[in-house]
Amino acid sequence: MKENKKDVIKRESICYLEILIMIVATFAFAYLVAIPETKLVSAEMAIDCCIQTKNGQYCQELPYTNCSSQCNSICQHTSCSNVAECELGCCIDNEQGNCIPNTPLTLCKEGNVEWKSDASCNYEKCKSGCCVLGDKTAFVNSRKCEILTSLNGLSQYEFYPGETEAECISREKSVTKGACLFIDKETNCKITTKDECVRLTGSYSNFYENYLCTAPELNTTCKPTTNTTCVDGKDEVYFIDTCGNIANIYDSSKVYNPSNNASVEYWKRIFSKNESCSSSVGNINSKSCGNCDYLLGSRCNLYRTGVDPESVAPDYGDYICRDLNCYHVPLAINTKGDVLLWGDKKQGESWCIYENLIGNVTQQLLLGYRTRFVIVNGSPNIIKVPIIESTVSGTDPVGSRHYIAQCLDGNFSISPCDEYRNNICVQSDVVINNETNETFSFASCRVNAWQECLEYNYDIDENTPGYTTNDKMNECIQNPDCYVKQINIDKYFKFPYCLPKYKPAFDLTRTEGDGKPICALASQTCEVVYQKTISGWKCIANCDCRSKEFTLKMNEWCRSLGDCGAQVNVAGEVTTGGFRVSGAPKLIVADFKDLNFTKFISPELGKVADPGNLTYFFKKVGIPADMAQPKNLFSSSFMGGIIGAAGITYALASWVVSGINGASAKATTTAISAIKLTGIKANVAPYLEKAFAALAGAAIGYMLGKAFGLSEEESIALAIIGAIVSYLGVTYWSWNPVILVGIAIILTILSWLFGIGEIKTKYVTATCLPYERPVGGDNCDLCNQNKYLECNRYKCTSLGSACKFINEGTPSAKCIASTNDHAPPILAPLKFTENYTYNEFANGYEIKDKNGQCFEEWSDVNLGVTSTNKISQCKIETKAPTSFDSMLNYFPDTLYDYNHSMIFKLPSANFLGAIGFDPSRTGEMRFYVRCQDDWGNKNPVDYVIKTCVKPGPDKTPALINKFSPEQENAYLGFEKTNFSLTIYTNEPAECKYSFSDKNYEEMENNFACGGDYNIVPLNATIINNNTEVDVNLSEIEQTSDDILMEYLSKQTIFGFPCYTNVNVVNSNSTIFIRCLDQPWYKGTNESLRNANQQSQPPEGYQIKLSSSALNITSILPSGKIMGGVEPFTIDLEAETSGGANDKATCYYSFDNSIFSRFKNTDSTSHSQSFNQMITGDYVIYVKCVDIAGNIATAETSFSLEIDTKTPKVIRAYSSSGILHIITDEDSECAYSTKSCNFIYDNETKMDGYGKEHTTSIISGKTYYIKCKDLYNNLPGGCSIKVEKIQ
Amino acid sequence: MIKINMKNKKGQVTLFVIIAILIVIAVLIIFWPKLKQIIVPLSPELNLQRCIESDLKKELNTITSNGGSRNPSLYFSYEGNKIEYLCYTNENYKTCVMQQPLLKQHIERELLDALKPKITECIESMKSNAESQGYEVVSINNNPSLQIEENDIKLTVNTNMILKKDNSIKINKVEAKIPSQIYDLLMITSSISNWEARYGDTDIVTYMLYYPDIKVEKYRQDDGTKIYILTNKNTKEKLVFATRSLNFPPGYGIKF
Repeated sequence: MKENKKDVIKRESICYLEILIMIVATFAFAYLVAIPETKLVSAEMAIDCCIQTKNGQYCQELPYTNCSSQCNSICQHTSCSNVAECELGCCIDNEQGNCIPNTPLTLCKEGNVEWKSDASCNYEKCKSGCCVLGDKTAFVNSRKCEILTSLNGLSQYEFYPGETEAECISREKSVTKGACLFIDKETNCKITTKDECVRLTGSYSNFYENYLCTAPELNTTCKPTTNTTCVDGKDEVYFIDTCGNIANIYDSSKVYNPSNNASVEYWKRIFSKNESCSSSVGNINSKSCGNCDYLLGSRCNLYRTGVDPESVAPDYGDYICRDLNCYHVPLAINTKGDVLLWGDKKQGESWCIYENLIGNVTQQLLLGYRTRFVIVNGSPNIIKVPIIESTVSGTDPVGSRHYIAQCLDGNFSISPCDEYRNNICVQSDVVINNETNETFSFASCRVNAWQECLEYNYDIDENTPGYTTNDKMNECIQNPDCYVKQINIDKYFKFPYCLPKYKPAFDLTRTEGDGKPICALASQTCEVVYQKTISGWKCIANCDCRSKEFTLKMNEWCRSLGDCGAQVNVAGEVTTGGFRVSGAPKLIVADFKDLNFTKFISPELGKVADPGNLTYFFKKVGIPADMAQPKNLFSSSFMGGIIGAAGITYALASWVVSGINGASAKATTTAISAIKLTGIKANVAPYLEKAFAALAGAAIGYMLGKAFGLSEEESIALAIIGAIVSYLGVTYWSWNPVILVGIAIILTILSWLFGIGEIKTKYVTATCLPYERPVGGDNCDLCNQNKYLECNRYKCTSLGSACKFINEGTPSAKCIASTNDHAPPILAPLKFTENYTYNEFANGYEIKDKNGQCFEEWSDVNLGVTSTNKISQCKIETKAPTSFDSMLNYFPDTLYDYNHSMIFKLPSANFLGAIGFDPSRTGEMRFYVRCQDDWGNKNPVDYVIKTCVKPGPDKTPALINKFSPEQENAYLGFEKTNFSLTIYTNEPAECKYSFSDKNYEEMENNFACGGDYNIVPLNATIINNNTEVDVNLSEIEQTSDDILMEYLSKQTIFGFPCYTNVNVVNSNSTIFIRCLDQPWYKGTNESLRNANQQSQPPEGYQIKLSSSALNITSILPSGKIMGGVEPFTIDLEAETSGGANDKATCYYSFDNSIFSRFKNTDSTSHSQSFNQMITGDYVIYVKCVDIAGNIATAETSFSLEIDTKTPKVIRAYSSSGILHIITDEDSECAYSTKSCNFIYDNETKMDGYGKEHTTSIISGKTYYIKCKDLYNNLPGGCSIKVEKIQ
Repeated sequence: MIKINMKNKKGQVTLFVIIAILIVIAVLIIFWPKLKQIIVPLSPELNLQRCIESDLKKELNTITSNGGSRNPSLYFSYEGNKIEYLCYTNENYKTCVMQQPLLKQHIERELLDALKPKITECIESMKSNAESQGYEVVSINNNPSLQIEENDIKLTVNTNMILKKDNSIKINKVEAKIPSQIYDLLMITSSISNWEARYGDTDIVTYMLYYPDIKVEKYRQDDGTKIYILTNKNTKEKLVFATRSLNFPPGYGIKF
């Protein structure tokens, strides 16, 4: 008995866990609902609402540009949520009793239907419960139950609201049945329900509850047999009697035997399942007991002679409890289809199958080595230091997918989760027997929230002012699909970055949906700072960026973002084309030998993806009725589009990790102070001689420190020592202060002459591109060989550039290799004829402007080639390459396509060597293109694109293309003084600003522009004493080319950025900005440079001040809220006032840590609907921010109570021909004079909506009364029956 | 050697024939009630059921294999078949919008439309039968309706037919019930569509554990479409439909 109880608990656990998994899945799907809305919508991205498309789709949002061609109705220039016909709501089908969520109004009009605004159908009449229909149950809503009751001809309407589906299914087994006797029939007894018996015989008296037809006292013609049968909808094996009635569950010990009392009893009355043999164990293959249980792995089925073992042949009858468990099924499978682990699984179990490593690997892996110079016993030594990562991220190979396997009815099946790893398979193993540690596994494919991980790195100031990087990283940690990776290369190149645990996959063959923008997040530049010392140039900051460590770690970051960088595919092939580095050692395949990528393609047995913290999901319980789009990280301001002519490097996303920008910004200030310190001039005066001596001493100390390459702190320390010593020397030791000052001056002059202390910066750039597929198609068939894991387009294409997935969507879909024709691609111009003229020549073409002239300096030119005979992958260089493989720059990316094009910004003619103004001279530029086809057949010679630039002189000063923030959004926070401003110029320039309009030279305040190379990181120190000291001078020699390159590397689509922090100290908050172009002539040929003669904008850039603080004036709801149904819908509403422009954006949080944006905000009123609220106490924190960064916070608390009790009639009486009904709560009542089985809305209502209800009495009638309260709680049966009132 | 008397033999044969005839008569008398049922013309209901059943099952199979419509306009091509979307959004990251909220009524309409010619044919056939038996048939109208019920599909034809011979027999309506478990599949289809509309996906294992007689298969397609195939394990009836909800494209799905 004890054992049975345990099993019951076990079974219940399973049942509850199923529900739990379903809930987890629910919230997993709802999870992405919380993804914030799109931030920027361009004209191209604008959408229209189409009420019905030509394809018959209703209420679809279509791109503005092609809506009218696809739409059958007029395109509404708004989203569908704003179009009345398309408003989504709950369609209640009163005829069938169905509630259909997310239904457009236009589709809910025909017939007896009503449309209600809550699209989630959180209405009492839609709430499902258990409907008992004779010997069956149905998990439906009350209206549906009424209909089914009527359809089944049942008199008793039995509905149990609030029950779960599992509870309802269990209830099925407890429906009362009995023997129903017929008088004049040969077969004179039938097992049925009471209702059915009444229907058949017309009398209750013929029904014998819980009796079997074989009961001797009923004296029927039906007799016990040893025959058995299965029953539709039931799990168990049943005896049948001679009349064909279903008797009790098969039990060989209860075969009828008059001398066996137990068997006599067994054929007399109905035994419940629990009373029957060996309940709760399933009785798999039992010869003697037919008490099967589907959830425990068995169900009634025919014993198959010759198939099933003889040992399980039933003692009586032909049916057994068929074993539904799965034996010797694959638990782990690799890409080749090898089963790495077999095992047994129980009926209903599901488990994850990963064909390779997933997520992060915590074991220690050797990434590579870096070289270090160390002083050992006074002697320099070179050592190799291993770079070991204890956590290696981004292990999911390209082409991989998650799968879910399940065991049902003895069959094992595998199905894939969503493609592109947008779904991950999560698994939870529950111990169901503590003694044996027996487990039951549940798996589910759920949304991979990888987008959210990247969101946490988004420019926090712009998005949600008031948040810090730490806040965001904490959110990252709490997200079960994300983790924080510390990018730690050097002191000034380290920052946290939130990455997906399970990296997304990209379409490897299409430009749409590829990973280029995401991969570009890891395209970063490290600024390595050098300082000139007496012994030469010395690296003083970010020195490790030049090491292999930089290369390896940046690639790991790149790889962790998705199918990016150098990594491995599911076949174990490594390619490095997706990652490029300049200024640091290159990445080669051999680098991965220690990393052992082959480990990546074998699954780690036992490792499963985390289902996620349920609490986290529940915090995100506010599911908006309409689903939000993810934020568009890659709005036009962020995309890398325009490419520098020589650099051919992607422009960095402007939201580069704040740590990097932060270091640079701080550095500028320090550099200025350092320069000021070195520029002190001696000005001796008698009364100041000691002070000057001290100052001179300080200068000497500082100069010496710099000359010998000491750090900033060390040099300053030396300066202080110099000052003290000089002061003491003059005061006590009669040193001549003039000599000291003289020494200082000499040292200063020498320093100036030799450039001691001069700072220069070099850039080390990592470029992260989409993964480059292996060339050819040798591995294509690998995809088809796996008999367990289906081949799909993504996996197929990952196996090689020549692999193609054919017959997609049909049973004969397969991965094949294209034919190798052994011929290189044939290239031709890709012409954009509107703006250009083309002159073709053998193996190339010349491109000029539309007038056939050379281009203006700094023009953007769209260059393109097309491979006419087949798709190809192309590369481009500005210097003639020796081979395709030696070329570094993809044209435009690693994808194979027919057309290849990129926009290049041409440099100045001066830059191309055409110096001076001479119209006949032009600067010529050549681009060299080579391509290879998907089998690796490459162009043996260059395809040349020639172009030219008109000569200067450049007499046009730089123009400001864009202000960020724009003038209309330039607000300063209340009582704040610092205003951060970025301007974008159309050509490289240095810019200044002033609070009054004046000439460029007179302006006092500088912008930090892209090419400002005189920067030193804040508190720069020689932090790598062990790094190499000697530096090749040529390595850091900065030419005008370098300066241009620096500018180009900072270029964005808006132009060349310059940053500043305006210090607004009084009400005068208008600034005037002017720029000076051609920074590479700085200090050498200033006369060639052009300054703005007028400020931009001429009237100045006005920073508007906030007149008051931002306030949250109200938040609703608060206090106690009563509802009638769970989940309940609550609308959170907030009002704001004050701040910068009377508008604010508000966010809400259930825990004051993770904030989500209100659905309706950017106004003074903000609202958010939560439609999954359950009973409980809540605190909702609200944070609002305005455009100026003013922040207001507030909170509201409320408790939600759900009234699920039906009103009770506490008194009924008649008085003066009036029937009075008193209820215990406010309600309304209706009555029928026929039965309790009536539809409330169709019957006569009593008077009174409070607690008292009245109606006139008709003599002799029985009143069947139902009352429902304010929350629509209505009893299944009658609230009261008042009989035969006279 | 025995000599056979042929004359006596003839008498025996005659006797046997008479006995056989008597036995046949006896059998006819004994089994007359049952034979009567066979000989007597079928009831209009049974007649209609037999006439319409195979066509109904064929049309039902066509409709349910296509997601509920004979010729879906909004469909996904799956293994050569047009599978109708019951819940659909063309966008990414959004849950679907219900396209056939009143699915049962829609299928009933589709089925009835498909069967109308056959129903007319069946009624005409009934009339011809009656006429061949000497009845004068007056038919006022032929207004069919169809309902999918729990265990069958009920076809009702409001004939208002009058058969005149000696007496007038009025047949107001003819009802035929064709066994089918499609109702259960429809209810689960509605449930799945509702989950898709609210949460973007469903857990088919849970459905199968709750409803052991129903097999639910889900096949994800590259464009985010999911094909659901529901099969009644006992009757082998199928309902196939498509949804597209909460789709995640590769990458950010944004064209640059």
